[in-house]
Amino acid sequence: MTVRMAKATSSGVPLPNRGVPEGCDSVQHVSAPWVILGVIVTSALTEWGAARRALAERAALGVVGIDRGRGVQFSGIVWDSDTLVTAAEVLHGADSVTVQTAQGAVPAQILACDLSVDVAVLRAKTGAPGISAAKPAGLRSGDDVVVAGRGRAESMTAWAYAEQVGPAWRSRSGGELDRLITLSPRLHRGLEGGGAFDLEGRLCAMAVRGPRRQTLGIPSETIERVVATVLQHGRLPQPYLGVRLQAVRLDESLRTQLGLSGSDASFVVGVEAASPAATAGLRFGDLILSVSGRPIENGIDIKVELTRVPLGSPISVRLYRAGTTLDTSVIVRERSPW
Amino acid sequence: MNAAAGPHDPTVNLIVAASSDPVRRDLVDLTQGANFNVLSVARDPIALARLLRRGENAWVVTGGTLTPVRPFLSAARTANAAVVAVLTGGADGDDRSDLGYGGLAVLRAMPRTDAFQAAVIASGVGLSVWDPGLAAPPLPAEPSETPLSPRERTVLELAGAGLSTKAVARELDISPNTVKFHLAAAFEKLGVTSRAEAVMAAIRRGELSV
Repeated sequence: MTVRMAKATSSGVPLPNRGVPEGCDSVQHVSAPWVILGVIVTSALTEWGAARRALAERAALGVVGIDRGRGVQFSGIVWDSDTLVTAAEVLHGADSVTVQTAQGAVPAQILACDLSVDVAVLRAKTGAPGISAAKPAGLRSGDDVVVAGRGRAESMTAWAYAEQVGPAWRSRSGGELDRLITLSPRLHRGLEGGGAFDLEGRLCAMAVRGPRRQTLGIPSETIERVVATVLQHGRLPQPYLGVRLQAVRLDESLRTQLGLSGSDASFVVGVEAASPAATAGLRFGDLILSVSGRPIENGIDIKVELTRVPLGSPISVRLYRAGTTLDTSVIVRERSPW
Repeated sequence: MNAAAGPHDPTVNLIVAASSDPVRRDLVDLTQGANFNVLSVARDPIALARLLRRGENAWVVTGGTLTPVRPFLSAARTANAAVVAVLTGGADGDDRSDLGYGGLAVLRAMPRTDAFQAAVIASGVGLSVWDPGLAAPPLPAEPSETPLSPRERTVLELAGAGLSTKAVARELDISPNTVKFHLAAAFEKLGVTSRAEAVMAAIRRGELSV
């Protein structure tokens, strides 16, 4: 046993700093390749570290800090030279905010808060070049991302990985997100609204806090969609029909008769005066079965359908009234400004 | 037991579901000697879900410590099946508040045979059974049915359209603090904590229009 151990040590396993006397030929014999390997590994690690640092620094250029006063501080993404995006949940209700960049603080104007997808759009002259958004089509579960944000005076960076990457989904608030992204580990609160960048330095998502303390990634395609709509209208359009609805459970027989797949339909419990629904003749007691051919179980489903058609265009509505189905169309208008 | 099992169906079909072999054996032993018929045995929650999806009208009996039991419970509850869970050691400090009520019986390890049989019958008719040694979770708060006041509805409608607190205040010619007060009252009534949730809850209730 003793003999074999001694043999093993002298014939290859490197044991640095063990005080092996110089000139011992077995050590000289193995040291050269190991030293070369060590040098290669060290330089590779240094290079890797430098690359990571460069990536983090580049990501930090595309983000800002957002201060809504009273010590509430989170992050935002420089979408282009005068447009910022951040998380709507944390911004909502604020009248004005201050944006912190590496160069100093600038005021920002809030253009829109889309609570359904948690994207807020702001206008601010940050002087920063803006990020390059990548459709995160290539993002896979397990991929590394660098999440960048900014505090009042310092940049904040965290390395995370994409935990779940899944298909499009609908949020509880009726927002349509182009893909499901969750990030792990959970992020610092100050990074909410910050950008998650891939290893190419392209923005793939915005980090926000989701349900059950998860960190969700709002995909860049979704952000792009909201920004385009808001910049086109100058605000977030509020398409509406003007009906108050309650979900009602239908009997099996009625469901089969109407060919409905879901268990619920929407019962009209109120129609706003002079609303698109009132103009189209919808009335109390109507049962809304489908909108744009898609089954409607509650008001949130209708809200989603309304965001899919341009303002001023008709949307088809199938009703059940007095024992018969009835197809009608309603012109989608915006709620008049208050 | 004959009377308790009901006049129409004297035998109760059970699916025994547990990932550990000894636990599964103990559960099968428990079902002996009464009008129980062990239809099948599920070794993992996916197998259980598959069995239940087949539409077999069966009660689920699971057991073990809370952590491995949880996925079986949720599989059974997704399928609306009655469940009897026999929890063993280490469960006392666990949070059981999410287990819920109705059609669920939670017993401690090695229950008396008659207690087990009673639990199966009770859960099968939608009752909730908790071993006195295991604190039952607090009853879920009944969502308030109090309707929103007209002012709360207006404030929520404006806030839901993306207006800031100050903008809502300007619009209605009231102070921002009054706006916050109305919102807080609406949150309370709707049982929510954020504006987005409040708007959705109000739409679902037919308080706000779409």
